[in-house]
Amino acid sequence: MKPLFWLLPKVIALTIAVTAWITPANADVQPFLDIYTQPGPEVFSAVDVGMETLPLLLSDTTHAQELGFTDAEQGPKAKVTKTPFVVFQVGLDQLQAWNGSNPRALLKFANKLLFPIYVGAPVKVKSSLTVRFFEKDKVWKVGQWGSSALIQDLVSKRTTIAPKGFLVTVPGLNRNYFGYLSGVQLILIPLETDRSFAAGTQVPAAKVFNSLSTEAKSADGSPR
Amino acid sequence: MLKRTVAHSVMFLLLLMFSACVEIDVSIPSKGPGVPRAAETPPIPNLVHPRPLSHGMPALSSIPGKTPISLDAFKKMQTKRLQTGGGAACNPDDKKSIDKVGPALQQTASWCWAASSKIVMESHNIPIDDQCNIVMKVLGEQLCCVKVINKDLIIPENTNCQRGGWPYKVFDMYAFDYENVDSPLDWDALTKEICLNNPFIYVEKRSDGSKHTVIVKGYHNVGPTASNPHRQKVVEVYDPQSKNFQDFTYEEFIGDPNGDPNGQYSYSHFVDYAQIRPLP
Repeated sequence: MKPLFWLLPKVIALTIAVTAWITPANADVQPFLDIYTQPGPEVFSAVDVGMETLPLLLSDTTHAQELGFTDAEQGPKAKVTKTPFVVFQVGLDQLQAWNGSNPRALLKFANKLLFPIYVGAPVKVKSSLTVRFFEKDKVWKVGQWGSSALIQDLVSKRTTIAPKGFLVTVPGLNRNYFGYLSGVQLILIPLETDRSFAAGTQVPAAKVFNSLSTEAKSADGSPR
Repeated sequence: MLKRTVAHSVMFLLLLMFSACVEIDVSIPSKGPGVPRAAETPPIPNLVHPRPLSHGMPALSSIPGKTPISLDAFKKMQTKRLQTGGGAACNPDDKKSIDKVGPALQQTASWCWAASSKIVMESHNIPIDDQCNIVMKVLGEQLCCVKVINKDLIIPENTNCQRGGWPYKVFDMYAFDYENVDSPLDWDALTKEICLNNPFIYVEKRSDGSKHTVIVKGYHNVGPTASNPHRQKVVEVYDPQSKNFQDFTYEEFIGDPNGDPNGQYSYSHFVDYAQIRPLP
């Protein structure tokens, strides 16, 4: 056992050094924002499939309007922006267990990017396209079209409040937020009014999660 | 002795390195530099229903309401209904949409079950109470309709009103029939259900332990396109949480297979409520 004790301090020092090397300083939203605010061609392959399919889905005025367009003729004219919203989510279980520590650590990349779809000149945001990353196959695929009201709200906030904003969703409690980083602080803007915060208010994430944590603990497993 | 010492040291070093890798989880979401994910907390046990069976499907006894039926049994019922003139002939390779669905928002963050049930029941041209009245009747609470902020939002005076619930309880309350199908409708069953003019509700079960209801109102089978040589099956859904209509790829609609939400989508179908119709 003697040689083992002799090695121990060096092994511990090496482990600390390796851990520090692998873990970025802000091991939360920033690395994902750095990568996906300007996504690569592998993402746009999936986007292309989605945008080619879109006009086929807008086959009548009613459904075109449901997805946010004026009529079906806007389908072939629609384009996506190059800068999607990175989607982060916060789990119900994480909120239930949250002890008030770093709120940024609650955000998990949802493996989804939300691209605004716009039409015309002047440019008007109409709808959105969601692409999803599949970790197992290392491939991006188109997932959804629509969510017109959500994307218009997000784009409006990105234009007026924070150009590097992103979407934070809490699916278990049906909440969506426009999020952005102010220095190291995570700020959330509720997209819907609830008992605690009015839509559009800028709130530090810790305050939001504190309120949601209480609500999460009352969830009983039935649909909400 | 020296060999043994070196071997011990190397093994110890490897063990420490391995444990460090496990702790920080450096799974890479895309081409590019490795980015760590936030540590995941294990899902909490389901507080209301028994845990799912080991192969991932929900235990049949855990699906509340009417006795669940298999997809095969459900498809036989559908065929019979179509044969007896319950709906138009279907073309699963085309498209069909039911326009009477939505757009109404769930009026609190917890009322997806009341909102979804109301929307689907009203698509059969039967007026149904407001969401807050449905909630009061089903949950046995008072003061759920106070205070109304606007037509899309209520902040109930009684906080007990703001709870989750199950669509089947609403169907029972308002004399509607339904079937609990224990797995997601396949393309054949989905398209037939829409052709029968029956929008349906599925309960999405997520990996974090939460559940949510979403309405299916149509389908498209389109393509191919220049970038995609295959036809694309697409499902029209309406989510009362966001007041947003969405088209999902069929794969996105299904999510993780076999009722186990811990795969790449992080959600699966807990149950599909189909053939929601007024009792004769």
